[in-house]
Amino acid sequence: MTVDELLQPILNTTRPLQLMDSKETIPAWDSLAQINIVAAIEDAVGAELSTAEVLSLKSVDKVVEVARAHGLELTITAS
Amino acid sequence: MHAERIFTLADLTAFAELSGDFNPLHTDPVAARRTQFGECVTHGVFVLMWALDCLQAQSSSKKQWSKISAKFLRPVLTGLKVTATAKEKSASEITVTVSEAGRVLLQCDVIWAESHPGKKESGARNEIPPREIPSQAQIETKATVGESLDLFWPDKLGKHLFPALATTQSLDSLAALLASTRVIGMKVPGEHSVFLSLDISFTPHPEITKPFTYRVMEYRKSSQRLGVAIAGAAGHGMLWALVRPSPIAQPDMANVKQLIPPNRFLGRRVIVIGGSRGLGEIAAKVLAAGGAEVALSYRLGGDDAKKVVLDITASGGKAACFQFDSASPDWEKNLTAHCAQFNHLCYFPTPPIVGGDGSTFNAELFGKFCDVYVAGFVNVAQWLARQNAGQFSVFNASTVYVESPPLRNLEYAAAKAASEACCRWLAGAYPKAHVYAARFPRLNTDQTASFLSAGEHDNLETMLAELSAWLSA
Repeated sequence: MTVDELLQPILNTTRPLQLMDSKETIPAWDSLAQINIVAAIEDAVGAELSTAEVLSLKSVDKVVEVARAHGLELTITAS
Repeated sequence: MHAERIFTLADLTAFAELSGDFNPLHTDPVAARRTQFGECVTHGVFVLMWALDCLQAQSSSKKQWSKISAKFLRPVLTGLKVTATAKEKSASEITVTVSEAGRVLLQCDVIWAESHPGKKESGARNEIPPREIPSQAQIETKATVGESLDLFWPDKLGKHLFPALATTQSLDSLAALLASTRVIGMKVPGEHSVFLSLDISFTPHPEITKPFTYRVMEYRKSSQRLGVAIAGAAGHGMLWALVRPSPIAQPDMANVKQLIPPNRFLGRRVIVIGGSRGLGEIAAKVLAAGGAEVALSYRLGGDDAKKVVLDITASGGKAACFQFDSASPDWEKNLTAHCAQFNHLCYFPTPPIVGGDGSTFNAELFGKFCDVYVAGFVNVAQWLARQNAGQFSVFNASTVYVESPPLRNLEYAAAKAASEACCRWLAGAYPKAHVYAARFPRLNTDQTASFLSAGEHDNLETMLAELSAWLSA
């Protein structure tokens, strides 16, 4: 699965997301989007994230890291 | 399919009548202003049913739903034009998207049923559902046993709002969709809820005697999400909702008085514009606890303002409140009637701090902020100058964001920077005046409330430091 497949419907990005993208670079990445990202990851991995993991999901590299910790490999689309 | 619509508060009230979901987030602008969205939000199921109605009407399709999976990604605010489009994934599946200015608000996959059974008798009652009060129970105390719910499809209103759906889908299916929003908005989580998503599978042969039930299946505490299973004559499914944090409560006078010497601000007579909640509420309490006489204004939240006044006066302080809107033609007469003897001003009012799109400058949004932070501020300050022959003192609430505007808040930060420029202008235009602009960090207020984290600074100590700096200068 790619990062864009997981996050683009939530973040409304028109370009491929990169690892350094975050709440500071993506306007739609607010706390409601963060909740929706949690739901997307939990649906994909079939497990509940910890509070620390939920609060950490403010950047693409953290999303990749948390998904990987639950056995889901997310790849970056080549730009 | 292409359709456009602007949802109004009257539309939301009509859908609340139809569905029985009278959650104040949708129908009460005064209560909704204290939520994370700052204003009334259209029911997600309303937006979904409108888009599906447009789809059915424009395609002249008689197809019945087999499954609906919808995600309510962003709030649909009233007054904004939204667009619904559809894209066929296969002969039996279509994706419906509702967006606003390019931002996806709702996405829904519909799988069509293979068979098209004729109309059957419905178990839903042809009447308006009873008006109830949304549940406020804590989530830990919500029943996890199944609860039953009567289904309603008030035919006349239903046909008026969703004419194409009313003639194509089974009434039990429509009533089940309506019940889903009533479950989330009124039952579990109830008042403090945000509907996030639904997945409903519809049966082609409804058993109309089967009761509609809902049951809390899962509470994911780390993300404050609640999973609710539903089942009934029309089918079964799963609903997910966010347990929305309650409005931010500011410290009460008993706590405020512990920090402030009783005569710290004695003799000061201070108008606090926007004092019914948030930073204005804290300022009013701090000033009153220090012995100042306070006249605090509210625009919509009269009950909130009266509670603040009661808290202050019950603890021995002096306070009164009055309704004030800087955009009203009577604003000057109103101030003169309530604050003629005052010579200090604290200025805190704000429109909902909504963000721009982060990539372009939204002049209209900037203008809305400036109406309050710039024009409203200067008008009130100059009124105070006229009342006091140019000898007055002003406290303007600004923000650290003027130094480094966040991606989504350029328009807000720019308007606050403009209000600071007005402070400097006032100081030059009125040499006997004292004008102070406080740059606040992000504090815990309704306006800054997030679904996941709070501000990092102590509201009371921060406000005390700024007011002391203002009045000791």
